[in-house]
This record gives sequence, C-alpha cells and structure tokens, in this order.
Amino acid sequence: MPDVETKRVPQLARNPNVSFRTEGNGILLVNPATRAVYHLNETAAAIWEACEKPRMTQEVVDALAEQYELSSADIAAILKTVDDMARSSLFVIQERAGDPDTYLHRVNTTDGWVINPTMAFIWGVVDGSRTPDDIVRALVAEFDVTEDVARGAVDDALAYFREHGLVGEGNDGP
Amino acid sequence: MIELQTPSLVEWLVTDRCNLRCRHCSTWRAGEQDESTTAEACALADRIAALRVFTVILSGGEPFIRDDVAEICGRLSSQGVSVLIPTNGCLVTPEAAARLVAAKPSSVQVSLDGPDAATHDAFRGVAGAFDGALRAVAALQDAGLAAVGVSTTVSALNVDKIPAIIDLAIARGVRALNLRLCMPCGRARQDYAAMVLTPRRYRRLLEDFVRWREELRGRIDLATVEPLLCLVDPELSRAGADFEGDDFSGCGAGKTGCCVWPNGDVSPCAYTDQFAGNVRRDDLGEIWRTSPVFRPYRRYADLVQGVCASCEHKRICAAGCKSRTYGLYGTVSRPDPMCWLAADHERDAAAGEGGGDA
Repeated sequence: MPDVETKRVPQLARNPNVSFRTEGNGILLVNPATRAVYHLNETAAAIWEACEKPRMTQEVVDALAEQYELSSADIAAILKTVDDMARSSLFVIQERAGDPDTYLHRVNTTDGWVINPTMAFIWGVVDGSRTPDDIVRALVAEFDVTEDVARGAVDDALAYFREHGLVGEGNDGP
Repeated sequence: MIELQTPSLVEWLVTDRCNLRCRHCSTWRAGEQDESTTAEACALADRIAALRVFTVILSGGEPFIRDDVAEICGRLSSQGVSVLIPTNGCLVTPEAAARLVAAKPSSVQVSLDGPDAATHDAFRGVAGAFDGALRAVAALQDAGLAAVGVSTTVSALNVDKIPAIIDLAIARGVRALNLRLCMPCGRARQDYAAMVLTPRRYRRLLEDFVRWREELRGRIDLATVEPLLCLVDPELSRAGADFEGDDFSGCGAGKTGCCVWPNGDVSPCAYTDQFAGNVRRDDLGEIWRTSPVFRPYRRYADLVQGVCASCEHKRICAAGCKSRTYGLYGTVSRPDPMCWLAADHERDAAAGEGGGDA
C-alpha cells in the first residue's frame, strides 16, 4: 500500500534532559535547553506518568484506558497531547530496543500496527501480483514450516490486513 | 494560576569579586562584599537541593575567583541539582578545570564576546581575556567535560560579529553557544545608547538566530533565553500548547526562578535590585513563598498591560523580560523595552497625537 511505510517499532520516551517534580496536583517540567517551564494538565500528567518506561503511543492510550473511561474524542485528545509534548521536546521518539517486530505506519496519520516477523514477511511479498498460493510457497521457502502451517499464517495475515484496510478486499495486493 | 511552592531555578551569585573590568558591568566596582563562607555556601546548597530546585547557575562576579566553587558545585550535583557555571575563563587553569569536572557540573559556559582579542578584550576591559577564554575552553575539554559552551553578551559593539564568533566556537570544538543580550543595568544602563541594541536591531538578531540555529543544527547548539524570541520562533509559538494546566511561559524572574546574591540577599533576578529577604536570616523557601516582592512578577494580569493586553503573542511572551522593564522603568507592568511591536505601537500613537504630521 503506497501510503503505508514499514519501520522499527517507535516508542515515546521521556527526554532524559527534562527535569520534573510534582507540584500541587500536577507535574512541573523544565527543559534545560530552553529553560521552558511546563505545568502539565491532567491529561498530559497522566501521559507523562504512563511513560515512566518507554511505550508505544497505543500502549499509552491503553494505560490511560485502564484508569479512565475514554471516548473517541478523549483518545483523539490524548494523541494530540502526545504529539504536542513531543514537539516541545518533552518526549523523544526511539526505536524499541532488540525488538524483532515491525511497525506499519499510515503516512501522515497516527495509525499504526505492530506485526510479528512472519506477518512482516507476508506484508513484504503482498504486492498485488501474487496469489495466496504464491505467498504460501514463498513462506515455505523462507521458513522451515509445513504448507498447512504456512497457509494458516497467510490466511490470518491477509484477514488482519483486510480488517485494517491495509489491502483491498478483491485483491490480495495492497 | 498556581504559584510554585519552590523555585525551579536559582541563580546564585557566589561572589562580587571579579578579575576583569567589563564595559557593561559594575559588579567589579563594588569590590568584595560580605560573601558567604564555604560552610554557609554548603548549607545553602543543601537547602536548595531540599527545595527540589532543578537548576542552579553558579555565577558572580567571577565564580572561579572562589577557591571552593568546585566544592559548592559538587555539593549541589551530588544531590541531583543541575549546575551551570558561567565564567570569563581566565582563572580556569587545567588544575581548576579538573577539580570542577570531578564535581560534575551540567555545563560550563565561557564568555566569548568577540571573534578576536581586540573585540573581546575591549569589551572585557583587560588585555589577555580573549586568550584566557580560549585556554579555559581547551582546559575544560581536556578535563573531560562534554558540555563546554560559550556565552556571548550581545551589545551594539559586537552584534555584527556574531557569525564570526560562532565560527570560532565551532573551530574550537564547542558544542553550544548561548546568546544573551546586554542588559540595561550596571554600566550598560549609563551608556545605554552605545551598548544596547535598538528594538529593530534586536528583532533582526532574533530572526538571524532562528535561521542560524537551523543551518547549524548538528554542528553547534545555539540557544538563548530571550523571552521575545517567541515573537519570531515558530518552535516557541507552538510551545504555548494545550497540554499545559497553568502557564509558566515568558520571563521566569520571580515566577519560576530567583537570585541569591553574594551577601545572601534574594531578588527575582540577577538584574533587579528588589530584595525579598536574606538567606542568612530567613529560609529560602519561606522567602520564595511569602515575600511581596515576587507578587508583581507572578500576576499575569499585572504584567500584560497596555499594548501587550491586545497582543496575539501575550500568552507565550507574557510581556517579555521583566528585569529589562524594571531596569528602565522601575516597574514590571510595562512592555519589554526591546519589544519592537510595542515600540511601533508607541510610535504610531505618538504620531496620532501629533496630528499625523509627516
């Protein structure tokens, strides 16, 4: 799919140069590079707390969803806040260390999907010219698996890609 | 708006003494004041750390004129406080650099006000100051400090030489360069027209700064804490973001930071002589929380008045540098005298009152 790129799994990590402390009911941060001082609102403070360890944006949303009942508008607000905080250099984006997974990202959106190495291989050969049987044969040639196992993996992967609009319904290519 | 229970930044003038005779500064004329002993300084360092202050700027005078500057630095850094030390560099011998680096400062900024000895030494008032500054940069680098920066005090005397200063800093392996404007206080207040930029020249400097910063990214980090940078910097315009609960943008004097003077007096900033208390007599945290001196610096409505009240940048700018305003007008409730938008407005208003004569 032309508007989907593949890359290593990106994570939000707190900028290690940013100092922070609790202040009243919120969190106070200072970026020493600019001496900019930020007092986070409730949403931003929850995001900051959720990123005590590096996390994917979706994992941040999931963490907040465990604490709050989130509407789609809330989720949109969280994503915008994450973006604003990253633009203000409070977060840095880093690749998940030692991770074999791949990240599919729809360009110019916040849509993204983490896929395992088998699905990543299948994604790599789904080019619109190959049939499912072609993909099964490619999978068998690449990995030490039976045809039945390969066919199951291909069916699951194609269903996943279709479900998320990553490949067309009538055509197994992107 | 909430008020911070403790400052996030303390500028600590550890001495009035100085080995140079800078053209813009009158501190060296004051001579030796009743500065803190080492024991007093360590006690204050402990208190600052207990107040969870993020950053301390150990300044002066010339901080390296004190034999115990490394000890004070170590006392702070060992308790998690980030320590930044500005210096003219002339006293930073290899031995002094090694002692300081062992005390783990976050960064040291050596003053560099010209690309050559003639410019720098004329401004700093002592022959050899330029060579001393460059020797200090090398000594700190050799001692293993990664964060060696230079700081340039920008005045009408050197503003056109900044590109050459940047080139020199890069050639010397400096990672960061900080531009700070010559403030209208001390001798610069008396020699204002010759020393301080006009608002229009200041605007051009800030626009150049934004361009240089982008062009030089990866080679040297250019920084400035000029509050009016937000008027021309798209990055800062974005920074007034919706994720903030209470807004602490703009000048931090008295609002997020304060200054401790050599004799223990406390003021909103190193450039204001409004004293809120004295740490030899009172607790720094108590002074910060209770002194009425800080009130005008923290009330947004008091700061943003006149032409600022209708300005589109008011939320981020918050009327600019309060020390400049106080230094010139004796009040913080006026626009920053360097603001070209306010200057244009006042000029237009004056033209209107004058009947619109050409």
